Amino acid sequence: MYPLRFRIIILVFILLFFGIIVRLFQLQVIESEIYQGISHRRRIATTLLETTRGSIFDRNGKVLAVDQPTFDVSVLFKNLLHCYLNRTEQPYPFTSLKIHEDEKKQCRECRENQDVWLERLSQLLGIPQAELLNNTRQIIEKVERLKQSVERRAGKKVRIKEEIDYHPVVADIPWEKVIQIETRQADFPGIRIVPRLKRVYPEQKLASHILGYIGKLTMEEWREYREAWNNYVLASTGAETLSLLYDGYMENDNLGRDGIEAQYEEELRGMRGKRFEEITYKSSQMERVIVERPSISGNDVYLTLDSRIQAYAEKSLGTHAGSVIVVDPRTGEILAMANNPRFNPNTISEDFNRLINNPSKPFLNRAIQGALPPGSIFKAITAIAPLSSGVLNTQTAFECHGYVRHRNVTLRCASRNGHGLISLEDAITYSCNVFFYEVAKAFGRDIFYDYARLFGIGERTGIDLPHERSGNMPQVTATIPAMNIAIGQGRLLTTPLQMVRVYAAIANGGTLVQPHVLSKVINSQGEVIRRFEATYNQKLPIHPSILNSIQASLRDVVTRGTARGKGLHLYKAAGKTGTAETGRKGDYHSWFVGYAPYDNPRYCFIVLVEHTPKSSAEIACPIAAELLSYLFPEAHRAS
Amino acid sequence: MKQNLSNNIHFKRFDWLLFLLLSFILTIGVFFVWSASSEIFLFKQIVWIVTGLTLFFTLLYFDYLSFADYAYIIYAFVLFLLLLLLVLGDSVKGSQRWFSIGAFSVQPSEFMKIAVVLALARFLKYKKYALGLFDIGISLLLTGIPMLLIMKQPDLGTALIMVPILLSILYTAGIRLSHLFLLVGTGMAISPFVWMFVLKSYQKSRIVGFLWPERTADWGAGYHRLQSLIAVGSGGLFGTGWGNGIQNQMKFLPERHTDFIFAVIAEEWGFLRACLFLLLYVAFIACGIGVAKDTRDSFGRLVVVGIVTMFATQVIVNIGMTLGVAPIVGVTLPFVSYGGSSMITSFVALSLIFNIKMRPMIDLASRRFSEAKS
Ligand SMILES: [Zn+2]
Ligand SMILES: [Zn+2]
Repeated sequence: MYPLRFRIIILVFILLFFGIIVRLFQLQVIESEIYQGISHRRRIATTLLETTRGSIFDRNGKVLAVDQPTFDVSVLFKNLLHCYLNRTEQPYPFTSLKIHEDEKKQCRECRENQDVWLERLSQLLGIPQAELLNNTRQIIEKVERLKQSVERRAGKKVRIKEEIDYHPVVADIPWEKVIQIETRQADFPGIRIVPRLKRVYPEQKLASHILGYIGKLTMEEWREYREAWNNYVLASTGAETLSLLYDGYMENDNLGRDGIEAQYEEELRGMRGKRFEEITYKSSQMERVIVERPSISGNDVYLTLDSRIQAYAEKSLGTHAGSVIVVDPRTGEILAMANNPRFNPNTISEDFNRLINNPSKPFLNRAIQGALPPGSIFKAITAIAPLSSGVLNTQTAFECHGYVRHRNVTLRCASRNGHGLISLEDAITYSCNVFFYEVAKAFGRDIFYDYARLFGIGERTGIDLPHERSGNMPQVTATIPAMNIAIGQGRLLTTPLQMVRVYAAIANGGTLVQPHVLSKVINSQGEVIRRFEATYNQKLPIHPSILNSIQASLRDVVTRGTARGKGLHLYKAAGKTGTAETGRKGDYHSWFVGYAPYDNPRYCFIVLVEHTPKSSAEIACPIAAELLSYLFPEAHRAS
Repeated sequence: MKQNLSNNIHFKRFDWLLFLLLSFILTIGVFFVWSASSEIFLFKQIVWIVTGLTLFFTLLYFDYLSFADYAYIIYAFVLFLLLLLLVLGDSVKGSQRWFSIGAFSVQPSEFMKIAVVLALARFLKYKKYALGLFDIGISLLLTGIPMLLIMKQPDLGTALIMVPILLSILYTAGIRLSHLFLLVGTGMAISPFVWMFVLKSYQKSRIVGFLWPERTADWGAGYHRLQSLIAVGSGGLFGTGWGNGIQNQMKFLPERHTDFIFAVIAEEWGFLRACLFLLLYVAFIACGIGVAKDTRDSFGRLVVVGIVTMFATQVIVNIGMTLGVAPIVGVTLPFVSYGGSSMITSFVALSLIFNIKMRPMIDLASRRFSEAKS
């Protein structure tokens, strides 16, 4: 123990506090007049001006998100005060805010005329009078506090700007009501309609996961952004001077919280304008505007999405939980990315808590965040891997008896009685499990690993949407797990987007494209300032003849294989069915992935329905056929 | 044996004086957060205080020696969170200081202060009377690693608070004075490197702005400093009265309800009452050191000293900042500034002091236990 040391620590602290008190004395007693002098001087106040957030369009120029004016009702302060004083029967007043002498002399009717707005507004908008009165009270108290502080400093009575101004009482009223108020001005004395901007998604729930939504910036985030801004400015200019000219967010500003709104926040947000005003202490009022920098609206974002296909994809998914993606296999442009369930971004602020606690997870963008076993649709990779590494050719055949035994474990084929002697091409067409079990057994445990990685399984695709998941491509060391992975089961997890990209690569002749939803960015002058550029579009080292034979098998799936008779052949489609086991009996994930037309693919698509009691052919294939009937209307009519 | 004692909570030894001081500080704080912002913030601040108090009383039920058992685990965990933030930080625009869990955000750098205190106290617990260079070296590492991570965030204020914490704990643990001077000297010698390689440019400019105010214009950090000085200065001897500060109400003073809350107090309350408010803190800190002095368990003693130093440094730096005698580095005024992370951390830290005061016998018991073992 060092008792002396405690005393010294205390002494150090007390000395420091003493220093602080000395400094406080210097500022508040000795130099007080200087600082009071400064605070009485003319000061410059800066105000940030509103800006418009950019709109979001689909590939055909249809508006998906836009800042729309909405209307607030503002009331002249005098009317607020009259109304409140009359109704609360406190004629002269709890407040220091005095009603002017000439107004006091007003006749009874005149005075009453100043508070009729409350009743009429309450009637027109269906808002209880008590609520309006409560808003009124809050405004009055705020103004009163400000006035008192100004008066005390001035040492005399002054009239502040807020006493003669309008104050918002009701927010966001519908357009019809605006017209009614505007046309009946005489019935609403002292009322003004003030426009404000509000984010609107005209198509409601359409593509809600891609568009995302906006939300308020919290105070802590705001401080962080500002700090980052300071950092950025100083790094680029080295001047502290600019940090006050902070142009980023204000507390309570909106910013993109998910989807495109979050991903392209920087493009969409625009820049607030700024007004520098001179304020004199005496009046606490703006004397004159020194300089004003106008706002710059945000840029418009055009997506690759086709809202017609999107709407149809969403419709064809019906009430199933799952997702549908349509992509251009040549470019990686996402034409549709439908998810069910969805949410309505227009009402997100009211619905958020209900939605976030909903067990069916309406916020989940299943197309990029749902990692599930792919089932048989993975077999395209299990076929390409041994073909490419040369351990197999397309004529290699195995005998399928309907099951395989390995060390007391029995693994079954979909066909109970077996497919007999079956070649690789037919194994894909008829989705024979045994064939791929045998491949895994015969040619090594991780024969698929390198090729799956090559096709991007277990990695994010890099799509320009937030929160994408990577899935899981396990590297196994035992035979049984390897056999399971060969048929797309086991610990293998993929997202629908990853699998549709694999088939896009098969369809386009072996190029792994980067899926994306951004098409271009256009500034407020209408100039294209940016187009999407893929950071990778990678040619896979797979021989064309191998891809040709896989393509032939995929076409056969539709004409004579597992997807036969579902109407898919009408649209010259090729593809693969998949029924992934979930580990529970009678519960499957149903997949169909394919492209069309098979000889010149323009669309590559995937359908996933989660947790169904039936197999893929029953659930996913009809949805795919319905989607194709929309994409190829001529073929539909011909049939 | 430990179990028996820990179940017997010594509420008789609850530090009522310290709690009374705390209540005064909290009440004053709430009123000025209200004056400086709005009812919404007032309400949220009260929610934070109630949460903090609940946590404070809950933690009292745990034997503080269990914090010694878990000290390294807590330290490693918080360090891991900090690392995780640095890794995740890249994907988010700009820097990243907290995790968001629903409506709450957790700021690991705040908790790191307590974790460092616990880890240092745990490490130096048995080293008394013979603090070797090796012990000093390990202590430096325990403090330095999180400091660098926090500076990288970048959060200069929180990082710098680690320095006095380390020094006071080493001093209490019995470092030789020659070593102490050596340490401080070395620290000064390497600070140019920190300046060159660790600090961000805006942090440098703030320090420059503090050391040579004439080099910066009236804007930026200079603007903060000036607005704060005007607020304090125009408070005069008697102040403008609660809710009447022109710097406050006209919103000239940035961050009024958070880092610069003392400027509002000084403006609206004036010199005399501001001094009384400061004396509350002085008494609070003196009481804290008193607890340390009366504690015979060396872990407890070091923890209390570390925490009291943390509070004292925050108060001194925060107020120094508003008075223009310390650089503006973003340090909150404990129990007064608006904000959840700061309030919760302060209450957790404070509960350790109360805990240690309330369990004076445990050290004897455990010492007897360890003597019996060896
Ligand atoms: Zn078979
Ligand atoms: Zn499942």
